[in-house]
Amino acid sequence: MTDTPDEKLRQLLRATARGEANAFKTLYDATSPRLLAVAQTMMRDSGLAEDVLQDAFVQVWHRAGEFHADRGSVLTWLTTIVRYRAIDLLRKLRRDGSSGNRPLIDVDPDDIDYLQQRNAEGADDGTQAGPLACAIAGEENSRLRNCIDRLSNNQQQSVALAFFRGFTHQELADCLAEPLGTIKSRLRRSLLRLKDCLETLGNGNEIRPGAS
Amino acid sequence: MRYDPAQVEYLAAEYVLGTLHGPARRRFDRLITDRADVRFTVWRWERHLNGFASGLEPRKPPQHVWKNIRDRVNLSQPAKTALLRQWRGLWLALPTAVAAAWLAVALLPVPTAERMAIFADQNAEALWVISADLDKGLMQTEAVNVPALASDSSYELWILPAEGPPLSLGLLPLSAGSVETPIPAQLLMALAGAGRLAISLEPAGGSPTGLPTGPVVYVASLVTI
Repeated sequence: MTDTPDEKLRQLLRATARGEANAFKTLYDATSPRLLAVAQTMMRDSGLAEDVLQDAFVQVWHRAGEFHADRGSVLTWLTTIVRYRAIDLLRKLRRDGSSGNRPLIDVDPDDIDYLQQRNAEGADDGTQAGPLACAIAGEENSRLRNCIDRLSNNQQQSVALAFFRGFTHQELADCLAEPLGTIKSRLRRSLLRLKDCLETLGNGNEIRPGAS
Repeated sequence: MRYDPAQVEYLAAEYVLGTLHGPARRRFDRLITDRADVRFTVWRWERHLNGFASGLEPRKPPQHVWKNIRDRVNLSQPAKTALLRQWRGLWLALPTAVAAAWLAVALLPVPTAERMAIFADQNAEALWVISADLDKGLMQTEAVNVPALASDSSYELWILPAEGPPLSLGLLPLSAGSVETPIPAQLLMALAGAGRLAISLEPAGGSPTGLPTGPVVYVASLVTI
């Protein structure tokens, strides 16, 4: 009861930095299902997603000592490692033109199902949240959810496709059949609005004087 | 290239989101390495945006994923085994007394020594000075003269062990000054036994594989002081 889940993960990460193999395995068991979900959503291919997960955990073993509190929670840091690795691999695959069996730039029907399902769940709570706001779980993310919900559905969709699919501006423009300039300015507005909102409400992970 | 604070804010957000790509991403990688304020802005956006992933349905990875990770970081072959193998070889080759002395050193629970390597260019100008206090488990890295580097690259430091593949000691700082970092325990034994360190050119952020992927640009002797 005394350990928050993040404190437990921090202990495991510290032990991993000391070279304790058992702690590394426990950390892997505790976090890999969530991280594989991130990799799978981005890569759309089980083999590629598993490659991303492997590369990420090899990095975690070598760089466990680099984690510190400014990076947020352990899960945030691990998610970052997985996402950046996935983005690198997606860019490389698209550059090489080897997209595998499935077109890399598409909106998967699963995405829409998933977002609609989350939307329906949100509606049950009596809320009218947009697609991305409904995909955010957990009490610790309530501010992010509130702020995302202040974006239009179009803005949420662009941010979601960039975050979950690793789309570039051009890929977003192609996928949404809108001019590149429109996409760029929409993303810019979305991100700046998000920042203003998060800072107005205060962010749970930040210690800022005067923030309530 | 100079960026004003508003640009840093926006580029950091796009970097974390992933929409910043190509040369712009690589330039920004360099900025992250060089500037603490940029680093903090990026970390803040990571904390902001990664909550998006919280609602995804977890998936248990198949068994072989862990086996591959374990093999790639050599967990299945702990340092002790390598040491023992090395020792058996020496046992045959060396006079008993020397072997016994070596054994006494090898069996110390924690290696006791301070080791140092100086990387220098052709004119013997120091580039980086590395010193490792094996008792305290701390490594001091001093960047003296950092050679020019393409914006999409980084310098990664490696132990060249007597046996087995190079082991990463992380990325080298690019701005002049001294930084102290903990040495992961699994590297202490290798650092105590190795005769050389090396620097390889890697993509920004370091080798994605845990082994050098780019050319080795500098090698330096690792001496006990």
